[in-house]
Amino acid sequence: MGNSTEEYAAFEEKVKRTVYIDNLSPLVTDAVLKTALGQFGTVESVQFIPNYVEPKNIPQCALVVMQTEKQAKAIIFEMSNFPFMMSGMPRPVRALPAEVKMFADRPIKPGRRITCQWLDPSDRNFDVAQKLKEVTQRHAREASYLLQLQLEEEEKLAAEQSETLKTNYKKCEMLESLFSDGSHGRLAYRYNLKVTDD
Amino acid sequence: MLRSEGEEIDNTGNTLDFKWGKLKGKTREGIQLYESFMLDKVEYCLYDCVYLQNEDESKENHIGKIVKIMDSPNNQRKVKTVWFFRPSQVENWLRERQVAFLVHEIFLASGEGRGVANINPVEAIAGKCYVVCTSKDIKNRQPSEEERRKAEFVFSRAFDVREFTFLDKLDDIISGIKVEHFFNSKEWSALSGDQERKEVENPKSSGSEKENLQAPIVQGGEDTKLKSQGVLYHSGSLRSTSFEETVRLGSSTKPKIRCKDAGALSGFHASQDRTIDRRIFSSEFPSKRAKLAGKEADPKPAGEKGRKDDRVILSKRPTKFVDRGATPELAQDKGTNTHAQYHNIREREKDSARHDRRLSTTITTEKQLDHSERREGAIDFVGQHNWISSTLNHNDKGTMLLNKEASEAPQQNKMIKSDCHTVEAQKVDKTKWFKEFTWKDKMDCARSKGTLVRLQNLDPSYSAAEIEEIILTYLKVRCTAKVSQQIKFTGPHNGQALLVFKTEEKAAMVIKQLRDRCLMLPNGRPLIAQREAPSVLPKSAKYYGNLTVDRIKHREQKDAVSTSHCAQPNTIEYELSLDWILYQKRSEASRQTLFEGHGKELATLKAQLKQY
Repeated sequence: MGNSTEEYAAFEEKVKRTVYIDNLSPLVTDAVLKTALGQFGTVESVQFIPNYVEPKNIPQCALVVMQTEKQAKAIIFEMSNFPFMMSGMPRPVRALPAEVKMFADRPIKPGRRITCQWLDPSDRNFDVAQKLKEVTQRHAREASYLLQLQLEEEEKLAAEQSETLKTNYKKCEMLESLFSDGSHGRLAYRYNLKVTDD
Repeated sequence: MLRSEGEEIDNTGNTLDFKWGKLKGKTREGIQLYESFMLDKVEYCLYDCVYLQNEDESKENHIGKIVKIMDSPNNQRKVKTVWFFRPSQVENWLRERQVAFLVHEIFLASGEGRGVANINPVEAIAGKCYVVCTSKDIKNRQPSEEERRKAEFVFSRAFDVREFTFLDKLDDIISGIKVEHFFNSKEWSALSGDQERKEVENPKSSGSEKENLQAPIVQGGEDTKLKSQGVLYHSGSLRSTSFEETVRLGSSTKPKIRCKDAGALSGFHASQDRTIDRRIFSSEFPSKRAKLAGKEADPKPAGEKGRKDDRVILSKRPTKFVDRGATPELAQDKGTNTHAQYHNIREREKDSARHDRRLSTTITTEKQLDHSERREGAIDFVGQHNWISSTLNHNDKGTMLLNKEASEAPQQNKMIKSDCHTVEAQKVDKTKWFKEFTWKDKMDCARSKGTLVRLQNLDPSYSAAEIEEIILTYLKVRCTAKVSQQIKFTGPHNGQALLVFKTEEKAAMVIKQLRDRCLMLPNGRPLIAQREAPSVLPKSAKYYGNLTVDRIKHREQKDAVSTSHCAQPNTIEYELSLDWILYQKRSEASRQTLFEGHGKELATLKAQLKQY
């Protein structure tokens, strides 16, 4: 028992040193993540969270174990105060403190005995239990629908931004070409403005 | 200076079977150059392709071509080898340059710089490798159909170590060696068929000990059949005994450790150890088979096997003593036995032939055993079974092809190959057993078989072991569980897990039970089970929010994409990223609201549960 308590304590300590990062582009790999967070401290390990149960195309999430809790905190602080770009712009990644339930290899919590109970259709609690089941499943569907909506929103936002960026870029390009072929001088002359070459 | 003794003591105290071949010349520095040498009763000639022990033993051996055989005055026997790259070694470049390659294609190193050639001690050689050059160059004798089929690897292209490019045409001179030597030699066709025989019977091979090496001539067709069964057998035994095996492995590696203790770990050690391992694999499996079969209600093949086993051992012993001279340990210690066997190629060939034949008879019992073991509820899991067998089969296709190709090649070679295979498979099971990728494969396999079940409404903090225990206690079925890692996108109330059952019926039973009745977990959570339908995840996940300007010309901008950084407030990206942060906050908030609502709804329902 003492062993498992120790194990669990070690695990909890590890959780504290871990940063949960999401909104990651699919281009981000172990190495990218390691170098990126290496700026803040020593990265002990990186683990991408595989998406087994969500059918949706959610952005990658990862758990990054740092050497100390302080480093993990620093990362979370920096990333929530400044938009942090990783393998692509301008969507920033998000860092949050990790939680026990995010780990696949969480050990058994010491001292916990799980006792369950079979309810047969004749049981007086059976109806409520069935209802609970339904509700849970409905909740899962709702969550997944919300996710879908959010993905659509992401798409829209990305499309808008790309439009803005394109327009901005075009404008910049036009200005540059005006300056490079000397049109700006002629225009200034035409509109009776003074331009200084500097 | 010239050592003609067949054996000598190397500095680690182990006997090393080494012999020089024909002297080729002498350099000014006093280094003698040879045309061939014998190592462990195998003759290596100039321009032979060989496997070289990888420093990291867990990795694949390197492949190289011997271009120089040297004996320096201080007794250092060295070979210079030009390297071949396996596709896995140049994977990145293959991908980057989008080069298609054959499964058993390798690339000759060329160009200048590190990685073209090296000088290695001869002890690093781990065995011969049959490589055929398929270059269309006019100077290259085109390999026959036969040779192609027999080849372990083919090459026609080179990889430039400086430019990191793949060259379709080989350079004229590679590391100072004329390209002609890399092509198929003219005499090859005469020699290639049977490497072992070549070593033995080739009249050119100077000082070969003929009496030692007479390759058994086995009918090609039958042989292939036996072979493939051999491979199957190996996979089979792995499949059913994965856990036991590790224990056994532990004990069987004893001699290896001792060997290492005996002296510094040299390349020779490593290669020899490995061979011992292989021998152990092949000799351990049958005996265990026999034992298991004894337990089974199938006495006939069991007895037969037992007998055969004995015979093998009996027939092995006398020769061993004669051959090596009995050391005190020899008779008792199995490890040493194998050690000795190792030097006796002929005996080994006989053995392996016998092994193979026996394997073919055991293959049916093998299956039965498998079933019974399942019934017994051993710790192995169907998923693992299937997964391993499928991977192995997959791998086997490769080796089987090779094996077929090598149908006339000596048994010993093939035995090694298949043993190698076992070693590889063993490695898979040791190192990557419970890692993500294994689970994913297992899951895919279970999904297609209908044995994958998704559990919902668990407490999100339960661990996989706890879930397995719940299922075992309340549903009396064993399974493998994997908790889904809760991420921010999924609800905090609903812990989910995936279970892999052994059979579809069991999975169906669990689903039915949990549907018709209710299993209440503490805290008012009735467990929900669903069959996990095959979900088709798009291969390339769509990800919105990475924008690039078409026809981008600004170099700085391009570079900036690849580095991770905090955006500075005076940039466009900063402004755009604020939108994203806003979106992130908003979506997080809407999720929170939704989940809060869920929580409340659940709480009211739970309040209706009557306490006993």
